[in-house]
This record gives sequence, structure tokens and C-alpha cells, in this order.
Amino acid sequence: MTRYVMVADLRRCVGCQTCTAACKGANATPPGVQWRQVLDMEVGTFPDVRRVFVPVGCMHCGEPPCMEVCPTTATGQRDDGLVTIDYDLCIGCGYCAVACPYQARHISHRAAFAYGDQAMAPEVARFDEARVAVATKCTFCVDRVDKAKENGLVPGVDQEVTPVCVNSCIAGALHFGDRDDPDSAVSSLLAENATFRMHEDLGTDPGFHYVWDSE
Amino acid sequence: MSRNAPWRQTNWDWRAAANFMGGGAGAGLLIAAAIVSAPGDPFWPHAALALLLIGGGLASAWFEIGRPLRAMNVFLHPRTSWMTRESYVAVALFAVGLVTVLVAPRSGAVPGGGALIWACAVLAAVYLFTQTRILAAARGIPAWREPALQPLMVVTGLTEGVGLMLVLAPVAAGAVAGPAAVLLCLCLLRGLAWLVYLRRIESAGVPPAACAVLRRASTGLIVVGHVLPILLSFLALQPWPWPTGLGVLAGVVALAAGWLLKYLVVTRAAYNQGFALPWTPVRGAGDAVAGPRPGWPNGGT
Amino acid sequence: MTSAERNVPVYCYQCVAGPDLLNVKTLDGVATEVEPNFSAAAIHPAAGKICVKAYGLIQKTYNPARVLTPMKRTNPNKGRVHDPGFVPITWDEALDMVADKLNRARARGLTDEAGYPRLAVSFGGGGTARSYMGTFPAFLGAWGPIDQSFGSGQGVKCYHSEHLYGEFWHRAFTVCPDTPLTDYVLSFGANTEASGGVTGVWRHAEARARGLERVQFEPHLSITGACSAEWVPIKPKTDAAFLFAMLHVMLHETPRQNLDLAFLGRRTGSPYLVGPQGYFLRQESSGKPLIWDTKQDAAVPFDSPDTEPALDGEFTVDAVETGADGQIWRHQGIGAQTAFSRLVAHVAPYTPDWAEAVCEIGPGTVRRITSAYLAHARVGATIDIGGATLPHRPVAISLGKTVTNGWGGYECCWARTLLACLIGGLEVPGGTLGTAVRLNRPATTRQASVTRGPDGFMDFPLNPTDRDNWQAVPKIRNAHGSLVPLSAHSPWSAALGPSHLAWMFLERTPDNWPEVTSPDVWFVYRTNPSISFWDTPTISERIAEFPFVVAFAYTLDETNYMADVLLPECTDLESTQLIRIGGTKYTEQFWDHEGFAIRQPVVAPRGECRDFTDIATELATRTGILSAYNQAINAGGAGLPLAGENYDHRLDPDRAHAGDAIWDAVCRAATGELTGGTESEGLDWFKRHGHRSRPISRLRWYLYPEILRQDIRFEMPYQERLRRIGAELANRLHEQDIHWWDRQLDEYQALPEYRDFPGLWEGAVVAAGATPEDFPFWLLTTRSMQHSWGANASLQIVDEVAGNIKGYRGVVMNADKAAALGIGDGDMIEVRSTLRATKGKAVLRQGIRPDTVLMAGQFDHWVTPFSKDKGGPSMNPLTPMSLELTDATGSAADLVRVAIRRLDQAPEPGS
Repeated sequence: MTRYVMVADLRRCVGCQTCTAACKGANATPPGVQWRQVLDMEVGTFPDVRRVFVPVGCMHCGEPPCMEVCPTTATGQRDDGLVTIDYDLCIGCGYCAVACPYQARHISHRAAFAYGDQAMAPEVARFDEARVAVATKCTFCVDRVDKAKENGLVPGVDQEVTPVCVNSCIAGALHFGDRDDPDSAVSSLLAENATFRMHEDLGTDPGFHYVWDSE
Repeated sequence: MSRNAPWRQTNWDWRAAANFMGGGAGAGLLIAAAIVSAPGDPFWPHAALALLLIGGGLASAWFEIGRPLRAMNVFLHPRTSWMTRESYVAVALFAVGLVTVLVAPRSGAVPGGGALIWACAVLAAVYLFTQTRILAAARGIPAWREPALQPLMVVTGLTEGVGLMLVLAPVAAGAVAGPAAVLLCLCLLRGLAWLVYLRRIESAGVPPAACAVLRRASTGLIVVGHVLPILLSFLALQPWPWPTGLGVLAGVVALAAGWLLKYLVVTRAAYNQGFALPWTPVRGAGDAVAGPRPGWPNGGT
Repeated sequence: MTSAERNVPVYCYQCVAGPDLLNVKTLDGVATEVEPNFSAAAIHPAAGKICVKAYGLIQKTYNPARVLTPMKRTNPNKGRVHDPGFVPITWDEALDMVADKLNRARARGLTDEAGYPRLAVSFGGGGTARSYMGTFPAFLGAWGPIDQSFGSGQGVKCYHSEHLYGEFWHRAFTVCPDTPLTDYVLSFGANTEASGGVTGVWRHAEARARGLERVQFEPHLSITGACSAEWVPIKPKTDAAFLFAMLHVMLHETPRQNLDLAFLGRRTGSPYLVGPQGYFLRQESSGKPLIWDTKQDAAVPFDSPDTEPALDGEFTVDAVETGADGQIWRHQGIGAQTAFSRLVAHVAPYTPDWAEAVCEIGPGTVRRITSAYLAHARVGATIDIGGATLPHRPVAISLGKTVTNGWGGYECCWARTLLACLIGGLEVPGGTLGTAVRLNRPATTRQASVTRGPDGFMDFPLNPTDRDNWQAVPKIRNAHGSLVPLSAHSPWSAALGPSHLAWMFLERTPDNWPEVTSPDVWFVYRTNPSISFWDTPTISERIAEFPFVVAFAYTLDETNYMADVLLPECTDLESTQLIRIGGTKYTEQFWDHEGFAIRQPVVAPRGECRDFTDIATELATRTGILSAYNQAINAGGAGLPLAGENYDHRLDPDRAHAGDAIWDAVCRAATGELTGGTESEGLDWFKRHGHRSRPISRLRWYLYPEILRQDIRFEMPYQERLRRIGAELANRLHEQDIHWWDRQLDEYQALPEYRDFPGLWEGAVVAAGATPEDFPFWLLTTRSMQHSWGANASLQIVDEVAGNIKGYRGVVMNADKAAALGIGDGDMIEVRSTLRATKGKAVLRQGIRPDTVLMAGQFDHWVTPFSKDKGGPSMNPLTPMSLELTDATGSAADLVRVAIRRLDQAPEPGS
């Protein structure tokens, strides 16, 4: 089996938002919609304070609450773990959005562009009516991942078939790959480091791991 | 700008809340009318109003969805989605309910109608249950997924239904004593369920901001929404004048309290999970400490 | 990829931490996506990754607010309250207008009656504009004298003392840890993770992964502080106190053998003997500084063979001292200490307990960190690099902008460089390195710029201070050649003078100084000093007084609002240029390769925008300097000389050349340079491949081998030369009865003393007629990686992603302090300096000192589209330009005392 997961090494992440911008560019998300974003968090009391940068987005859960509640079957899950949305089925009811504990789903009820109503040429070229008024979220760049088979490439290794956020990461913090492949880089990262998953206690089996220390 | 602490979800607003208000009250009314009505009392006014409320709730939700013309897709996922199940039950309920209303004479009992009435009541109960499950399955909203919300929603629906019976009593020529007694009991139960729910969310990882919303409303809700209708119901049961008027008043207050409660839970207290980390990362040769959990005391930002 | 899709390689050099090499995807001729050019991964220090700013280039190209036609001003009145009334004109009309003004200026003489150039230019940060202005530098080179005085941020927003002293001491325009090999970094406000670019982030992430321990000293928990092992919330402007206390611990509380005594004895001026007048004691016959040779038990010239120099001690010698203006003192049998002994005595008062009272960091922390610094230094260890065995000292110290800018900058830079010398960690693997030269020449490599001076130190092209050669009449308006000997006289020097003096002196020229005039013509490109300088409303007023302003305009902004002509140039994805990549450069740009990269039109120019090269050629033609312009290109005005050994691609100087023809020649010359003339790939090749490079030895990263080769000493610890030029400068100025620079002359100390630097800012409050208690907060700024240097405030995507960083477009303050003042998160607050007030939303955090508030980036736009509607404060309007806060290098610090109040509160009486 294959289970594609993302591994974010929080020790490396600097909160630069390069992945956020790269994702927005590659996926042509409208203003305010960030399938990938990096949180800027702080804990402690002056002067003993820590500041942490945390990439978040769809966790492509093994037990996706969004899929369970979706009344239309628009949300699906592939054998490789990717949680998908069929924009033609989705009715934009928002149930998945309130079921997701990661605030990863977005519904833009009308077309929106960077500078008001007038779309720029790239926005016109890439506008997709099907994504208006339905739920959208990080796809793990499924179109790129799916090119792996036809090209004999490995997602997470070959950049052509790797999610753009991973390709863009300037700190080497984001990694992508097959958790079920013991030889993959993400498996090694998980084996060799102390990791956690966010809100794991909710039983979602998130496919997004955070490295916070070495073992 | 990214937010770290739980914030109020915006996907479901008052229109979604209206579905729970109308659906719960309508279903409760059907159940109450079936159980509490005296034999021979007319059923159709209750059924008609109930269908109106349930239909109104569903219509309200329909107005909220992004792609209303595709609304039929809602039936595609009965295997796990309580929203789909709700829609199936709604269809059945409307089918049976409409038949019941249509075949019922303008006065008197539904002919041979015990079965239809009970079918309505059973479907209404299932409908009420599906609605509670819809909230429970929304794992992203801690105040909804708290199990204590489910009995609260059920008892709230029933209370609203009985309250509506009392409201309808003057026009439907129904008795007051029975519903008033039941309302008194249900208000007691709902108040208890509310307090249990409130207590549970305080310790169940529900964002403090959400708890605070409900806590702030609690005293008023208990006093005005529960103690008052209990008193009014009690008075309506006494051999005093104007029992119907007192009953109507008790019903209105109980209904309004139920709807307010749902509005608060579905919208104002619907804070999402927020983000939290068990640990901060080790930066080079640094160390780790307990991670941020914004929105909770000393949880950072 | 479909046939309608194309991937076009270009570079991004929007900030000094570039360049980044990227591909832009186009769909049916429309640029749609940006991604790293992974073909460069193998040669790039950060695996070919690109910065967040590059992802804004698509929007930058298609921004509907762009200026797309040449425009002229119709309202003769200039100022913030006067709508310029820009109307479209043709290119011919625009170029004729500009050429006419230039020709008139040329006819009147290239300099005005006061001696200042009639043509002035201002470009964006750190030389980045040069990577976008095509052959315009050749036009400027052909023109003649040009004034680059009018700063747009340099001097007030840069690492100014580091630039000047860094180049002086170790050819280090900027200074950087040898990140891949270092284990322990003390970072005083250096915001590497926000301003170090892709390479900075990547190299430090790699270093953290292998256990680098970095301690961040800063009043707020910056991005870099967040990524460090420890945050020390030091009081603003007291960094020198901590560094001095470290010196004290190392020299008074640490066994001497823990230091790198061999390095100190052989590679620094530590053993030089110092006389009673404070100058080196010299052999009269040779003029060479003396050391005490313990083998002969005698004073001998520093470069005598087979000596064992005494590091410490007092000796009796016969010698001379040479002071300012050739003054000589002859000594017989005089007691002389080594420079090192002087240093030891000098730092004796700077105990950790003393430092605690100054910088509010406990003595235990000073000792713990100093001890760790020494332990990590591994004195005596070596490492093999490129076939050579070099010392390995894996400890380094970085200094940030406000630390190395303004008063205290000299002290911090001196202490940092000295701390590296004490453990032999300067310019060696793992240690503290310079990155590039901008003042020294030749600039090809740092090593090439090193020559040994008469005293055994590196020579440096100081501006003359002697009576015969001092510039009594400044050549440009910031007077760097007259006032700042350390700014040298390279093409970069003009921008490294006291740039705010040019703006200030326009308003009021100080006593006994040639009156500072407005330039006849001012070109401005990729910069917006009305936003990015200090006292910005005043800057706008000065700009409004300029008679003729030509702005190469992207959108309307607060500076070109005062322009007479707007020229829309092709932006990043629309024009052609070849630049150098690799080698060692700003911040953390340390490559194992060097070469060239192309920027080419990804899409057709929008509107009537023109390639900068074509504009430059047109201007050269219309001003009659075409031949000189072409010759300037041939000589290197487009980035490299067009002829070299075995290749010659020079242009015919007597005719105008199309842009592609020019860049084809440049590309062929670049290939020739890389291949020794054996290959000659042209523009088409570079357009297809994007870049070309060759490997270089990693030894290029370190100056130490060159120091050894030329048997040079680092000029540490004793600054005899600075003391002398300071005295000479004082003589020159006083001869002209100029005393307004006296405060700055105090900086020229051989061994700098700690002064109450925070007190200088409090003094400025008093000088402004207020009381310090009324302005109890320090206002600081911090760079936004998404914005810094990018001129991208009008880009929605950049604004959106930057918004994920807390404090963006707000005022960060300590949560507990805010609570005490009744300020809640998100409340609108007023921030007031003695100059004026601004307002912003309070962002409450624990990671900031209670006495400090922070405004990230520079906003406060009132013309720039998009940004003006987003709001957001800036410290710049609140920060005064003042002589009293200007240090000897001509810089001042991004720092100001302010008062805070919630906006719904009534102002207090008198405020």
C-alpha cells in the first residue's frame, strides 16, 4: 500500500511563507484562500518565550471527518491516502468545513481576484468556475503526484511530481512521500525523530507529521 | 491573516441554525402531538405546522449552500453522512406527514390514523436524532461534538414541540393540562441537560471563548427559559382562571428559549478547534517546552 | 506541458540576498506560475530554492495599477497636497523632455556653482536596482560626475558601521558566520532568517539540523530569535556593553592559554608597542612599528624575521611616534606597553556586573555565554579545505542592522572582530567571515583586493585627511569624501556617506560649508525615499523642491508623485539582462561556483513599457554621448568587460545598438570569461539554458590563506590609524572653523570606550524640548522577508502571505505592559515621537521587552496603490534626521523614543 504524507520539520521552519505563496501561485487560489499556510505561534511569558512557525493545511487524514460527513460523496479518499474533492458533486454545504479540525477547507461563494472585480490576465487564464461556491482545500498537488506513475518518478524525490510547497521550501522543512515505504525519506524522518500530529486525539489519523526533536 | 486561537466558524450562520430550530421544534411537535394529545384531538394543525417548520428549516439551509441547484446531491452519501440521512428522513417524514394532513378531516381524529400519527412521530423522532448526529459528527467544532449536546438537543426539540402544542391549544382546541404537565417536566429535563452540557464542555477541551459565550447566557436561559415556563406551566395546571393563556405563555417562552439555545450553540459558541502543539521544536542545540495552545489560559498566542 | 506552455528561466534579484534562479511558466503567452529553476540546484548554495518575493512577480507584471505609458506632470505645484495631474505622452515626447533637461545641464557645466553634480540619481537598496537597469550604469558612466548622495535607505537602514569597518579590517562589506562549519553563533540582532535570503535560511536550517547553537540578542523575539536556541532580550543599543563584558571575561577571568596566542602574536597588531601619545612606537629609520622580541629581548620592527613577539608586558625602548599631519615624537628609554596590554587594561572596567547595569543581562549569562564561546572555539584545531590545512574555529558573531548602525556601531564591530581574533577565528573555517568588497578594488574577489600596507596591515583606500589632499569642497552633497575617510572612493562610496546629511543640508546648510543645492535633474529608480527614509514628510518636501525629477515608474508612489516625467520600464519578467552569480557575496551567499545568469522577457511588455537598455541607449543618443556610452559598455558597464584574453566582443562605439545585440555581446563575453575565450555562447544560448557557471575553490570563502601568503596582520586590537585620521580630520575641519562634526570626531579612538548609547537617544528627546519620561518606549523595526527591498507593497499576494506573520501592519508590544496601560489586542494606539505621531493596531505578544515596541517593515503609504488602502504604520515618519545621532561613519540607527496611548483615551496634558 501507499500512504502519502507530509512531514514538516518544525526545527527548520522559519515562517517565511514561501510555501504559502508557491501554493497560491501553483493552485491559483483566490485572495484570502490559503491551502497551505504557516502559522506564527508564541508560548511562554516574557522573557521565557518561544515562537514557533507551523505549516498547516489539509492533513489528508486516514479517517477524514470531512469525508464522513460529506452528504454528496464529493469528498473522497484514494488508496494512496489523498483526500479529494469532486467539485462537480460538491454542493458547498460547508459541512466538511465544520467537520475539519484543521480549518483546512475553504468555500469562496463568488469569484474573487487580487485587485477587485477585474481579473488580471493570469487570473483569467486560470480561472476555474467549478471551484466557486464549493469546498476547496490542499490537494497534495495531486496532478503532479499522478504524473509519477506515467513518468516512473517518485513523489517527494523528483520535483516534477512533488507538491509545490515542498519544492519551494527554502528551509528544507517540508517533506513529502510514502509513509508505507520503509525506504522513503519521510519514513526515515519519522523513524529517526520525535514527531507528533496535530489533534491526533480526535481520531483523524492525520497524514501530516511534525518533527520537533531527534529521537 | 492567519489565526491561531479557535475562532467562530463562519460556514454555518443563522440559516443553518434555523434548520435546527425549525427541524427540532417541528419534529418535537409531531412527537408531542402523537403522545400528549388526547384521543380525538385534531392532529392536522400540529402536523401542518410541524411540516412548515421542518420545511422552513430545510429551505433556510438550502439558501446557505453554495450550489443550491445541485441540492439533490445531498442524497448521495447515506452510508456515513448524517446530513444525507436527515434528508432521507425528511423525505419520508414529508410524505407521511402530508398524507396525514391531507387525509385528516378538519376536525377530529385521523381516520384509522393511529398508524399514520405514530408513523409521523417515529419519523420525527428519527429526524430529531439525525439532527443531533449532524452536530455530533462535526468534529471540527468542539462545542458540537461534545456528547452531552445530543440529549440536550433531543430534549430541546421535545420541549419546543410541547411548547408549540400549548401555543396551538387555543386554535386547535386542544387540552392544556396534559401538555403543560409534560412541558413542566421537559423544562426541568432540558434545564438539567443544559447544566450538564455546560459543565461537560468546561472540562472537555471546548475553547474557553465558546464556553464563555454559553456561560454568559446561562443564567438568563435558566431563569427566563426554564424557571419561568416551569412556573407558568405549574400555574396553568392549577385551578385558576386563564389556564390556556398561561399555557400559551409557557409554550412561547419554552420555545423561544430552545431556539435561543440552539442559535447560541450553532452560531455563537461554534468556535473551531484552533491550532495547538504538544511541543515546541528544538532549535539547534536548544530545548523543547510544552507547545502553544492559543485560546486557552497560558496557552500563548 | 502543452505546446501553449513554456518554461522561461530568469533570475530574481529584488533583494540583496539574491539572486535566485527561477523558471516562469507561461500559458498562451501569459505568465502564470513561478517555480525554482532546479537545473541550478547543483550549483546553488540553497539547492536552487527561491525566495517568497519571487512568487509575487506574476502579480507584479500584471498589476492593474502599473504605469504603462510615459507621463508628464501638468500641475507645476509639487507636494503631497498637489495632484500631479499626470497625463500620457509619447516616448519621443518624454525622452525629448528628459534629454532637453540633460543637455541644458550639460551645457551649463556638469557641476553647479557650488561644485555639486547637476545630475543626481537614487536607486533601490543594496545595489539591487543595478540588476534591473540594463545598460543604464553605462549611461551614467559616460555622463560624468553624478551625485548619489540622496539616500533612500542607505546609512539609516543598512549595516553601515559593518560596511565601513568591516572592509577596513577584513574586506567584509558584510559579515557572516561560516555557517556550514560553525557550531556556536552569537547573533546580536542579525535577522538572518528574515533578511538573509534563501541561502541564509537554508544554510542555517542545515546548521541547526546538525546542532548549531545560536544565541539571539535582541529586544524582541524576531524570526531569527524564534529559530535560535536561546533568546536574550537585551536592552536596545547596549549590545556593545555585552560584547565588552565578553572581552573582559576572556582577558581577565580566563586563562590566557585558552586564547589563540599564536594568532594574536603573528596575525594581529597585538604585539605592537604603543607610545605615550597613543601611537605605535616606530623605528625611526624605517618608520616601521616595533614589537618586543623575547628571543633578543629587544624592540625590533614588526616584520623582522625569526622573532618571538611579546604579547603582554611593558618594555623600555628608544623609538618615535608619528601622529597626525606628520607630527613626530622622539623617545629615549621610554616605557612602552604592547597594544594587547593596553587592551587588557582598557577592558578591565567592563565587568559582567557593570554590563548588567547597562544592558540588563545578568552577569551569569555573560560568563556562561563567554565560556561557551571559548569552549566551542576549539583553539588549535585545524581542517582541510580545498587541499589546504586551515585553522578551524567554529564560533562566530553576527551583528544586525540597528546594532551596526549609528552610535555604538563602531564599538560593536570592533568588539566582534576582536572577539574573533582572540580565538583566532577571523576569516578561518567555522569562524567570522567577510562576504564581499564594495569599497576596496578590484571587486572581482576579496582576495584580489588585499594588499599589504606599510605597517603590516591590509591597505585601505581611505579618503585623504592630509592638508594637501583633503576635500575641502565636497564633490557630492553628502560630503563623504570630506567627512568620512572610511567611506573610501569606490563607485559605491557615494552611497555610503552620511546620506541623510544631503537631505538635511538642503534645508539648512551648516556653518562654513558650501551651500547644498538641489540637483538640476534627479533620476529615481526602484526606490521610494518618501517612505523608506526618515522624517519622511520632510523628505517629500525636499523632493518637491527638486526642479526636474525623472522617475522610472512601476506604479505611482509617494516619491514619483513629485516627478515631472514618469518613464515606464519593462519590469522583471519583461526585459533582458545578464548578471554575475556565485562567488561570495552579501549575507550568506557563499557559492562553490561562479558564473552568469540571464533575465529575459517572459512575456511581451505591457502597455508601452520599454526595456531599460533601450531607454539608456536612447538617452545616450539624444544627449550626444553615444560613443562614450558604448565605450562604457565595452569597458564593463553592462556587468563585465566585453573583451578579455582570447575574446573580443566589443561594440562599435559610434552607432546605437539594439538591446539584444548588446546583450548578445555581453553573453559572449561572459562565456569567454568563463572558458578562457574558448567558447562564445550568445544570448540565445543563455535564454535557453538560463545560467552558466564554473566551479571555484572553497578557499575563496576565507581570507586567511591570502593573509598568510602576503604575511599580513589583521589591524586589531589597536586602531592607531583611525586615531590618526581622526586627529587629521579634526585639524582640517577646525581649520575651516567647522565644529558641527566635533561629536563625530570623538569616535576615532584607538581603543573605543563604552558610552551611554541609549542616553544619546534620551538626550535627543531633551534636545527636542521634551522630557525623556514622556517618551518611555523604544520604537524599533524589523525586516519582513516578504517585503524587504522588494518594492512590492502594492502586491496583493505578498501582502496576504505576509499577513500570516504576527505584527504585520501593526504595532507589537509586550502584552503585560499593554495590559497595564489598558491596551487590548487589536486596539488602535497612537505612537508618538518628538517629531510627530502615527497610529496602528496593537499586537500583543510576550516576546518583546516591556520598554520596546515594534513596527515591522515600512508602510504608511499614501499614494502607492493597494498599500495605501491597507494601512499600517511605519517608524520612518517618527524618526528624526539629526546630526547629534549621526556617528562618524555618517550613519544613524533605526531607533526612536516614543510615547504610546490608546486612541480612545484623551491625550495627556502637554502631549
